[in-house]
Amino acid sequence: MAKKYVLIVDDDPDLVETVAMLLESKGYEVGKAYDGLEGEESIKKRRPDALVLDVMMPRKDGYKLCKELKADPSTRAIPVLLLTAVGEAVPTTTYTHREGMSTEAEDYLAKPVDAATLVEAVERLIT
Amino acid sequence: MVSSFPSPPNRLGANVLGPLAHNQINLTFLTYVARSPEPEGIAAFCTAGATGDAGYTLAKTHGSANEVQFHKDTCILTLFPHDKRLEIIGNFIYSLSRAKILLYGLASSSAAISAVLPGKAKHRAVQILFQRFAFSGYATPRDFYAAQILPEQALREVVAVYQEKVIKVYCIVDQPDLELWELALPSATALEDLALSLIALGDRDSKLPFLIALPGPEGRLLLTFTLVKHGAPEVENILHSHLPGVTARRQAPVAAIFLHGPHFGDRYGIADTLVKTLEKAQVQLLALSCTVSSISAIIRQGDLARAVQVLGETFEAQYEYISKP
Repeated sequence: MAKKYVLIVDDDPDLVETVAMLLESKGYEVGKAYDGLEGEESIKKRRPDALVLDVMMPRKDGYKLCKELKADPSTRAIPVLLLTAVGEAVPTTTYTHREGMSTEAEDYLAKPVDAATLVEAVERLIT
Repeated sequence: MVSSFPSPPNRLGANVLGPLAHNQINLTFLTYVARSPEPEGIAAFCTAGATGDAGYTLAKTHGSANEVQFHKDTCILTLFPHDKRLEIIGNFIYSLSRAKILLYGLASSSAAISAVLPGKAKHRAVQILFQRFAFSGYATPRDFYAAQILPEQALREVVAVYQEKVIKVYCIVDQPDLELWELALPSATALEDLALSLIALGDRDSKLPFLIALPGPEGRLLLTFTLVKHGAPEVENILHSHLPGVTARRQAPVAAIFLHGPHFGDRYGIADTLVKTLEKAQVQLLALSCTVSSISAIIRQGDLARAVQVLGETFEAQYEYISKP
């Protein structure tokens, strides 16, 4: 059976490396992109089975990319897991859980994400 | 950048990192090497510009020697992903050194290689890297600059800084069975030859999980790197052919421990916690780098189990340890 393909889009190269290593250890094939535009290009070339998407990135942030994907019938079904450095610890920020959900992303995790939770979330999105 | 900080081994926490953490100074870059058999360790670190003077003062106050150097207006240029490939890291160093750009220091993380250079050399360095590398995200230096974050976004990232009672990290990764190589280059100008030797080693399909360079005594540049076990005579031959007057010291086996976390550069005290944890457990740190969002520590392989245990007790990394082959 072909491996499921997960695309990680984050401007933190070490995070991309770490998440890729975690997912590869669980049997996934992993693609990497380092900002929103690069992620968009990567999706055009190969449609992922799931997308792990950072929020704050140069050129195009994760919210914008997610909204565009969900507005496009050809990419709407790609499940999206949003990651952000901002969660409950900083309730006053503009990036909140509620805003994350307003992008129609399927799931949302706050950094620093529990790695096991991240893998579980990806598995949930794909199955 | 504050550099050249000779002090007895196992004093990195007390002499350097502790005072910086106590004063809530974030480190954007840190390198350290224990210079065996000499009984000293040397560190170099960068802070954000606004805290540079304070960092320098602390270094002078807590250091055991007067050999503290301070370089204002430096910048950090980071290339990623390198995939631990010697030819990428070698070409990065070669491009900059060939263009006579002064490099104060180098540090690798799991995915990136960072160089500290004079701020006034930044634009030329970016131009040179675009001549040598193709970047999927940016066709030209102009594209690169246009993508840099806006002040408004930077502010939002600062808002996101927070400290936990127990520091969370994504995961702790260890990699045993490495060779540690140490060289004292006569000056930063020898980096060009060093880079050529790394490129030559890359042709042998070796991997480079760790590399640092920092200013040492008498104008030398101390370079430390680890290779996945490769065959010492071949490495020695390649190094000797490019750097004939330089003695390379080898230690093996050693192990690397990598801690990955978000925004390490915005959260003070993480390196201090790691170093003090290892010191308390009597694990001698052979070399250390902190850059991008990772800390990489090199220790003797016999200390690995103890180090992993104490770090697991200190940091909140809720994932089983990943041991790289």
